Amino acid sequence: MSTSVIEGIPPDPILERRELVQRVARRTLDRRMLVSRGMVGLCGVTLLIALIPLFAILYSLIQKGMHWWSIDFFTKVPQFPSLIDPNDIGGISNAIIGSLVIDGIAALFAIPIGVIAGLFLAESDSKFASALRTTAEIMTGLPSILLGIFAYQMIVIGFNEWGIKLPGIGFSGIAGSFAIGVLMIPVIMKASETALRAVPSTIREAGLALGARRGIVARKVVIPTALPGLITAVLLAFSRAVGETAPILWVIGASTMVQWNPKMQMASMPLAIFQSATSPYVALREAAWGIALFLVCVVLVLNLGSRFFAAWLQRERR
Amino acid sequence: MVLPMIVALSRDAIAIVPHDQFEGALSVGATKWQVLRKVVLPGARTGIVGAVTLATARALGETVAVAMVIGLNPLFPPSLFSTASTLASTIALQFQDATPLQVAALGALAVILMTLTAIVNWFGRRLVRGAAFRAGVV
Amino acid sequence: MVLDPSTMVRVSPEIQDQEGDPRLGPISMRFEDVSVSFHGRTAIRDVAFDVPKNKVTSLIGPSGSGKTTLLRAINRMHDLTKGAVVSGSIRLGDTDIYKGGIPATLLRTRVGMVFQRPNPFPTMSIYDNVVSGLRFNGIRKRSVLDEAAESALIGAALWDSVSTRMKAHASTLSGGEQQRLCIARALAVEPEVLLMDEPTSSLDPISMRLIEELLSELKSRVTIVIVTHNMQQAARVSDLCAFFLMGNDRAGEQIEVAPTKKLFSEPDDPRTLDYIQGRFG
Repeated sequence: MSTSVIEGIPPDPILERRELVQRVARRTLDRRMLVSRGMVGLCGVTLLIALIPLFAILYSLIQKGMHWWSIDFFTKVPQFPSLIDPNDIGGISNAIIGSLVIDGIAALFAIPIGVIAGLFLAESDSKFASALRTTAEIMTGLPSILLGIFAYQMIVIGFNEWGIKLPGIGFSGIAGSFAIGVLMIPVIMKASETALRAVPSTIREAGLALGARRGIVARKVVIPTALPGLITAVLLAFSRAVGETAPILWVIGASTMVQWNPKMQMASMPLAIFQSATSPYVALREAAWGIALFLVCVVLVLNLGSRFFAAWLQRERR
Repeated sequence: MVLPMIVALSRDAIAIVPHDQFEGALSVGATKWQVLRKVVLPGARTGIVGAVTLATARALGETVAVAMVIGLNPLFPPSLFSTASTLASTIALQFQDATPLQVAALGALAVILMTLTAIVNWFGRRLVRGAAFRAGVV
Repeated sequence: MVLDPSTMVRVSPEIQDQEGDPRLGPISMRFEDVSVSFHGRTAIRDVAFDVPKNKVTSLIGPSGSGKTTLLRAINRMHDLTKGAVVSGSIRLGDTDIYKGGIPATLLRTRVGMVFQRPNPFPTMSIYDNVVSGLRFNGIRKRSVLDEAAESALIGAALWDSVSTRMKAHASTLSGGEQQRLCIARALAVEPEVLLMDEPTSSLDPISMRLIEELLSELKSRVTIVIVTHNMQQAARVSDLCAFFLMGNDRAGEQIEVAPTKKLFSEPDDPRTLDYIQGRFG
C-alpha cells in the first residue's frame, strides 16, 4: 500500500514499515496479552502448588500431634505401652533434656570457634584464608551422616594412629555434641564472615586510625557492629543443628532415663522421632507426631526469634 | 524436601537479572510473558541450572527421611515402586549392627558419597556464583 | 524579520509563544495539567506544553525536578510501579495515552525509549537485539526483519561497524556502540516518538558527540524528547527546551518552555536565568 499522497513520488519505506508494524502489532495484540496473562497466572498457581507440601505437613503435624501434648508428655520418661493401657507411652523428657545437653555443649564450642574463624576470614586475604573458606564451603555441603561416622570413629571408638591418641569414650552424649558441633562450625563460619564483611570498612578504618591494634578494633568495634547479623547466623545454625538426626543416629547410644551426664548414653529429640516412628508399637508410631510437632515449634521459635531479636537490636541502635 | 531450596535459589537467580533489561524489552512493546521468556529466563538460565544442581547435591545426601521410607534392598530395584537403597540410607540403617567387614564396606560407601556430593556441590556453586558475577552482584 | 535556518522561513522575532510556534511546526504530543505522584507524594505537577513534531525537545533542570519521571510517564513505564498515579492528559496525536483505550504494549510501539545505561539483551546477538521489538510484535518474515535491521542500524550510525558481524553477541560492543545498538533497537519498530533518558551520561565524550550528531539526522524520522542534565548538550541538540525545578513542596514544576535559542539568551523567568548562569558562569 502506497503511503505517498502525491503521485510520482516513491513511497517512503520508513512510513510503510511503520504502518506494517502497527497493523501486525494490533492484529496479534489480543492473543499475546491473553497468553501473557495466562502464563503469569500459571506461575502463581505453581507457587501455590509448591506450597502445598508445607501446608500439608503443618496440618498433619497439628492434627495428629497436638493431642499428644500434655504435662505428662513433657515430664515423664518413655515407657513401652502395656496391655492395660496401650496408649500410655510415657513422655519425652529424656529426649528434651538430651537434646538440650547435646546441642548446648555443641553450641558452646562451635559458636566461639565459628565466629572467630569467620572473623579471620573477613579480615584476612591470604591464600590460607581462601583455602579455609573453600573447605568450609565443602563441609556445609556434606551429608551430615558422614559426620556421624567421623564422630563414631573419633569419640566412640577412639583413635590411635598417626601419633594421635584419643581415648574412646563409647556411646555418649559428647560424641553427639562433637558431630553436631563439627556440623555447625562451617555454617557459622560462613555466615559470620558475611555478617562481619557487611560492616562498612570506614568503621574499621576509623578504629585503626585512632591507633588501636587490629585485635582490639575487631573486638570492640567490628563485632559489636555486626552483632545482629552474627546472632541471626548463630541462631539459624543452631536451629538447624537441633533438627539433625543423621549424625547422632548411632553415636549417642540410647537411654530411657533422663541423663545429664554427657559421658553417658543419652536420648535426643530427632532420634526419638526416628525410633518412635519406626517402632512396632502403634501408639509409639502415633506419638512420633507429637514429638515432631514439638521439634518443629522449637525450630520455628528459634528462627523467628532470631529475626525479631536482630531487628530489635537494630532498633535499639538507632 | 529440595523443592523449597530450588524455589529460593531460582528466585535469587531470576531477581539478579537487571531490571534495566526488563524495562528495555517492555519499551519495544513486549508483553510481560514475552519479556520473561525471551530476556529474563535466558538471563537467569545459568543460575537456575546451578540451583537445580545444588538441590541435587542436597538430595543425594538426604539420609533419614529417605531411610524411613525406602526399605533396604541390596539388589538393584526392579521398578520404581519396589524397595531400594541409597548411599546415605544404607549407611544409616546398617551401621549399628555391622560386623567389622561391613563397617569397612560402609566406610567405602561414605567415601563415595562424600566425593559425589563434593563434586556436584562444586559444580552447582560455580554456576550460581558465575551467574551472580556476570550480573555484577558478587 | 529574520531567517530561521531550521525551517528556512522568515519569521518575526516577536513570535515567542511555545504553543504552535510557527518555527517549530505541527504538534506531536500535548501535555495538559499532567502530574505524577507516588503513594500520594507528588513528583512533578502542572505540566502543560506541546512537543513539536520531528524536532528535538529537551527536558532540563537540576536533579529532583521530575524530568525523568515525566519522560517515563509518556511510555507508561509507571504502570509497573505500585502506587504511581498519572493525572492530567498526555495526547499523542488525537489519542490520550492513558484514557484513550490504547493498551500500553501497543503504545510502546509508537513511543520508544533509550535508557541511561545501555541495556542490550546479553543473551542475544546484535541482529536479534535490533529486531527483538519486531519479533515481540509478531513480525516474523525474514525479509522484513532484515530490511528493518539495516534501516535501523544505518539510522543509529552503526551499520558500517556491525554489518559483517550481526551474529556476534551484543556484549562484544563498546559502551558507545551498545547505546547506539539500543537506539537501533528502538528505531526498528518505527516509533513516532523516541524518548531518551540521559542517553549519553554514561558514555565517553567521543561517543557522546557521535550520538548528539545522530539526533539532528534522526529527528526527520522521529520526534525526540530527551532528558539531559548537561545544559551545553541541550543547547547543542534541541529545538525546544523545557526547564523544570523542584518547588518548595518537593515536587517538580514546569518553569519555562521556549525555543532553545530564546531560553538560553533571553529567558522569561528569572529562575531560568539563574540556572543557566550558574552553569555557564
